[in-house]
Amino acid sequence: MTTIATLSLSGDAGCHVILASLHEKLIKLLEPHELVFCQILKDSRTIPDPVDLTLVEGSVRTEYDRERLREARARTKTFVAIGSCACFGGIQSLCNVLDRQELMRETYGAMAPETSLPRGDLPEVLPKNLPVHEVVNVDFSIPGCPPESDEVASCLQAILSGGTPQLSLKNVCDECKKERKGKLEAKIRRLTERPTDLDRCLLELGYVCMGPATRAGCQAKCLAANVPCEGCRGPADQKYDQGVAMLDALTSAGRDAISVYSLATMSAMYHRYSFATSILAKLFERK
Amino acid sequence: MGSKFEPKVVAFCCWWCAYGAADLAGISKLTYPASVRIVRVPCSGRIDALHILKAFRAGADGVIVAGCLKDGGCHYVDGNMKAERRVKALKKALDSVGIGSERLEMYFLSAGMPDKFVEYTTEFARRIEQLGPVGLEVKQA
Amino acid sequence: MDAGELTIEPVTRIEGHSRVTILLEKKKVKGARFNIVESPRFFEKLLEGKFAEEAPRITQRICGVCPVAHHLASVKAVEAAWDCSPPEAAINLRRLMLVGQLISSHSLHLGFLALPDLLDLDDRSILGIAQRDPKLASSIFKLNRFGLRITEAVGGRAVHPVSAIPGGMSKPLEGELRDELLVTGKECMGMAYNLADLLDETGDNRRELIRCFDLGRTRYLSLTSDGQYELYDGKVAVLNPSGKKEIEFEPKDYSDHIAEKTIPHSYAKHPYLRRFGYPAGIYRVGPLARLNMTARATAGRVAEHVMSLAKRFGRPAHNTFAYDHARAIELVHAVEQALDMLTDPAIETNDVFVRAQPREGRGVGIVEAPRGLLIHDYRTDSDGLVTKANIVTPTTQNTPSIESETLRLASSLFPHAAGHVQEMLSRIEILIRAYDPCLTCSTHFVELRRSA
Repeated sequence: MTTIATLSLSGDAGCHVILASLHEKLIKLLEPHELVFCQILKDSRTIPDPVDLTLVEGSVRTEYDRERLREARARTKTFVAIGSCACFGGIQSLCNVLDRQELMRETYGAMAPETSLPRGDLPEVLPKNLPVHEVVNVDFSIPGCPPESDEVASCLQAILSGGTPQLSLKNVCDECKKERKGKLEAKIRRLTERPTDLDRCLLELGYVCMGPATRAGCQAKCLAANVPCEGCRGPADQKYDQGVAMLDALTSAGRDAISVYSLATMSAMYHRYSFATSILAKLFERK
Repeated sequence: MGSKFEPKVVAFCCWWCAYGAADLAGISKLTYPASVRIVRVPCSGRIDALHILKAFRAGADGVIVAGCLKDGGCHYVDGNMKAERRVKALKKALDSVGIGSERLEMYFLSAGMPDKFVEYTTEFARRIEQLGPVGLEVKQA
Repeated sequence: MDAGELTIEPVTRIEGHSRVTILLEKKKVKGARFNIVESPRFFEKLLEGKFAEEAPRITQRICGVCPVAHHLASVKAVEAAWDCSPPEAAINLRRLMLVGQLISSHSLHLGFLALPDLLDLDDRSILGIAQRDPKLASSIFKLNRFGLRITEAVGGRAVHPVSAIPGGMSKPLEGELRDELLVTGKECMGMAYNLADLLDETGDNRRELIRCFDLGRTRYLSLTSDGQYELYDGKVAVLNPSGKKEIEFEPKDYSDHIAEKTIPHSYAKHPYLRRFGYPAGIYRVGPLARLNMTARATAGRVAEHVMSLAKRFGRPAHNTFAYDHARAIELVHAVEQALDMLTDPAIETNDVFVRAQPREGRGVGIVEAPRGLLIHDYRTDSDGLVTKANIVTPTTQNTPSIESETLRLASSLFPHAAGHVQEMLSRIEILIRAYDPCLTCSTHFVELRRSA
């Protein structure tokens, strides 16, 4: 019997929606165990100490997130990061490209003397948005924005039976049904242009498709809908930098990967969900 | 008196040409700046963008990528051309993160050009000296 | 309890993180605060510099429960900025996707968040429902699945769809998917009726509870098309507390009519109608607003339910509990609408895209999200990059009412609370839940003002 808790940090609750959408599977999964803390589904107010398994959704954006995260980690035996916010920082990491001083000034400017609100009532925004593993140790990660329900179910099943969840080590291209001809078109295309050939690889047609640098497991649904992969599942192997790996892939394939656009623009194309973990963000942060 | 800034330059050199030139420079008793640390790779095309960025993260103030001459010089056909594209793209990336495109450079030479090896490394090291340190907190890349 | 502070932290069974603090002095409620402590994620700032056509996929990450609403409001804003009209067939698909969102969101709220309070359960959760009444749990799951499946079929994914692109949709609806949805939808129709009946029953059994949610009369704001129920297009209209339509305006003119007041004791901004000033101009949005606004209900079972809503709560209905009744009615209506749209052969049309030209411009996109009116307002430069963004979410518009009603309810309950403190605190939570607040939506920004 495993006691289970879920924690929500800075996110959109999408991972909890996926959990809830397991429906009967969720009921069945939880049957031999006990859900002791899950504030969206139950009237639970604190994480018990100790607890066997905690799933954490969301990134660390405020001091309050960090405190709650540390407290939960200290009480938990097995800690699982679920969703790309927890695993990589998520889409809100794109703010890390904003100058730290500017963001701090603007944030604290809002808490200027004209508001008489005591500091304790407002979450103090940290200089950078962080993934969970940069604050505490994580035992398993289930990436995705949101993660696939089947994958969540099978990972939970594995963890609850004392095993190790297996994520795909392939990339999205392996699951994509579009046809690859091995030739990149010279022109770079934006999403506003509909692909002329709906059966053809979107990367080859010139779209920014993160398939080569993104972990498989989603059946390339976005590609099936004729839209390029935005990389929401993070890199196929966490030791790779998604955007930089993409840059490598494109330059190898013959594309001049120089963009006239800024880091602010291009980080949303190559690092949309993983910017917090990217080496570019780390280099940028030295200021 | 302030100590003179000693730049740290990492030079990724391909075994067939650039490293050969460096070797020959050594044998010929030509000197090149001590600030340049050579990392030998089979081909300049082997270098990942991540290697270059990690070099900066690990404390490099400047990075050189040295490969074979263009127009058929590369032992692996077009590895040097891939490297050239990578370096161009990375220069832009280095500008966008505020490190500066001038801190990364690619040079093309053959194994029989030790003088060019000396010329390029000396010129680059001087450039980095003038630019000053990157000022990155040194991290274990 | 005579004096001191009572706290509910966190408020459970809502989306997002908040706390309620009640200050007592000499058995009287001296103050009550509803604080949203959800982390700000700065989406409006984040959008600056991004390709505007990426905004629909980016901004929907504001909310995992109502991503479709953001996805569509966003694409409409870009199309407005770029002066681009998508084909009729694309709009039909978007309407279908929006209705699907209503189904998944309302079934999630009613089944997982709200109903546990209204049924007599030891375990107030969906797990408790599954144990006590497996058939009810199964209906909730089927409805939720139907809504998510519509989004997946039309949008490509069940959560965070991808198919809305400036100019139309990236793909049509495939015949097999349409067929599958029709079958499921027909199965769900009866379940939706049963859920509405259940709410009715609960209304009968919990009159005393419901009475305490009679906390005042407000204005209402929603989309409308000539008095008809409208989720995707139309004009924005305002209903006064007596139910008379006072103002009607085009979405693009929203900022002429809606202003935001900074509140000194909270970092939330309170939207209000300029014409009436603050706080008289406070209004509510969401299912209650939409049904109050609908002058002519569609025929059939929905009309019956709307009439029973009016009978129980008056017209317009002001009691906050009516929100959940309204949700159940909307769920019925949404399943009916979905079936209508799916039965129409036009839904399979292939012609769903025209090419949009990125350019400089400003555009406003408004839709009715499950929780109420949602506004996306973008400026783009000549490259089609976003230069400025403003997003007004439904929960932000309801926050002033949530705050004031929390105080009013606490004030009315606590003088008589001795021995029943937990029950009273529970009622305050039920009040907040009735709004179905989406706090991650409402705090996607922190006011980025420079100090004066």
